[in-house]
Amino acid sequence: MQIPVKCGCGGCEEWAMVELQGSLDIQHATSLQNLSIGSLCHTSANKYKFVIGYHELEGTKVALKKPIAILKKIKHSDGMEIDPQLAATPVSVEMQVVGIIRHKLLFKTRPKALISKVEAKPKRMPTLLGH
Amino acid sequence: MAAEVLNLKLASSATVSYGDAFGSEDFKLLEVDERILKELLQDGLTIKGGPDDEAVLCTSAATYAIKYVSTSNTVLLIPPSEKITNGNNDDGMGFTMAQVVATSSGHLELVETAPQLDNLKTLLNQRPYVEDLEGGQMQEDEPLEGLYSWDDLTTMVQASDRQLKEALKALNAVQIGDYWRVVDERFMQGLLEVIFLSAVQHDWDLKCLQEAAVVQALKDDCYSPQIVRHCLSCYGKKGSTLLNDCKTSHLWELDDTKVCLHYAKLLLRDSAKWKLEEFMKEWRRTTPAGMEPSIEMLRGEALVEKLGPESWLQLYSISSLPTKPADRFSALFKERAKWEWDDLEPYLRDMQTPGQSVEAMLLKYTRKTQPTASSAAIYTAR
Repeated sequence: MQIPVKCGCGGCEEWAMVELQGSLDIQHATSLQNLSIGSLCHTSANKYKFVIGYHELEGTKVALKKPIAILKKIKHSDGMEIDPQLAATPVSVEMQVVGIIRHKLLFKTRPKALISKVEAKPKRMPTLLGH
Repeated sequence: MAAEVLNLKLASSATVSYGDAFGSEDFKLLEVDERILKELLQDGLTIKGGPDDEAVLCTSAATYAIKYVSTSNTVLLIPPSEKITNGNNDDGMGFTMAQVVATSSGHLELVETAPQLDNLKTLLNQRPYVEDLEGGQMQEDEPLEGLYSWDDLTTMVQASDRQLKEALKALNAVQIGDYWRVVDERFMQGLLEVIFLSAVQHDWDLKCLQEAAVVQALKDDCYSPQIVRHCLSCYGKKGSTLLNDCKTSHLWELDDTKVCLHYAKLLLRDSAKWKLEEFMKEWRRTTPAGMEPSIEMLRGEALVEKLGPESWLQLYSISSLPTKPADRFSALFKERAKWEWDDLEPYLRDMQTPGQSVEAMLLKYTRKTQPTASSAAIYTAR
């Protein structure tokens, strides 16, 4: 069984990757679509600030050691889930490269609380829970 | 826009939000090096494996195992987007909208691995080529069961194209019509005999056979040119090209070791165990004149065992052994509890896999003892 992995567009664009320690905990929202996560700011040379709810994170832009290809599964007929351990998929499945990641914005420190500055719509804001 | 998130100007900010289509698509992140990435973007790669296999990823040259590496961090993926809102917010500063389309809980990593060629032999042996009928042409109504084309094999065998080609060559397989076949040994022997008889008849030099002449002579015996050429390539190497009456013809030099080995295998197939002396006598008798068999040629095909004053030769072919290192060593130590390096080495020759040297395998699967500094090292099971 073969699954082709190829690039449909010829020249794949670079995607951005934002990595945070911990997980985003969404409060009071019924759907995630169009929900605002936070505000990202480039503060100095290689310093970024990410404000999520009333948490502030500090991070840097890091070049990945090896590039990462983003693959999207294209099903041409009824296919099953692709599991990297078990390729029980029909021949009509194809993995298409849709983008490349070469850099990430890495926020590896614990969030700092911003007590004084509460955002305008706190009910629609996700908050960050550190580990 | 992704580029804007990455190239965010100093003192400017971006609003990061979940996109309208967040979570509707499943993305896999595949970590690759620049070389593989280039091939991926230009020619594409292939994931191969049956329902019971672990999937591998093949480039044109190599085979990689796919490992999933998970992360407990939150990873947001932001694609380039046309929907940029470049405007002024209340502070009067420029801002950008960045839409997250998916989160990722891990990525796939590639580890170069050996091609899984075990089933290739099984597939080809389902229907060896036993008869040269109709000049190698298939009958229209001939059933295709047990026949495999190149496309069938690339789909069914977990190996890169280059590795598959090499494996087919190592198995002495030949493409006849659309299908790759291994040629039955007895058929091949019959053909080889006819070549030797013709050589005597026409006074040919076995070290300098003219392809065109051989093909022409064997046509009368109903052997197709293709199968004759294949036989020459199995037992000899191609020499220079001759120009005769504006026709090109290759010269072939038959290889002593390959030809002798072929006859030894036939003897060993009749009887798997021989007294060494008798075997050598019989072997010399059956091989064509001018070729000198030597016991060295049998390394990796047969083992010599000393039982009291007598030496016995026993069939033990590397081709019958499993290819996975753990299975290979287990089979070897089942055959013999103790191995000397000289005996063991031929059975490890094809074991070099990426990231695993023979030395590392010996350390992992064997115990080495050397009674005295001058005596040969003995390998036992670990």
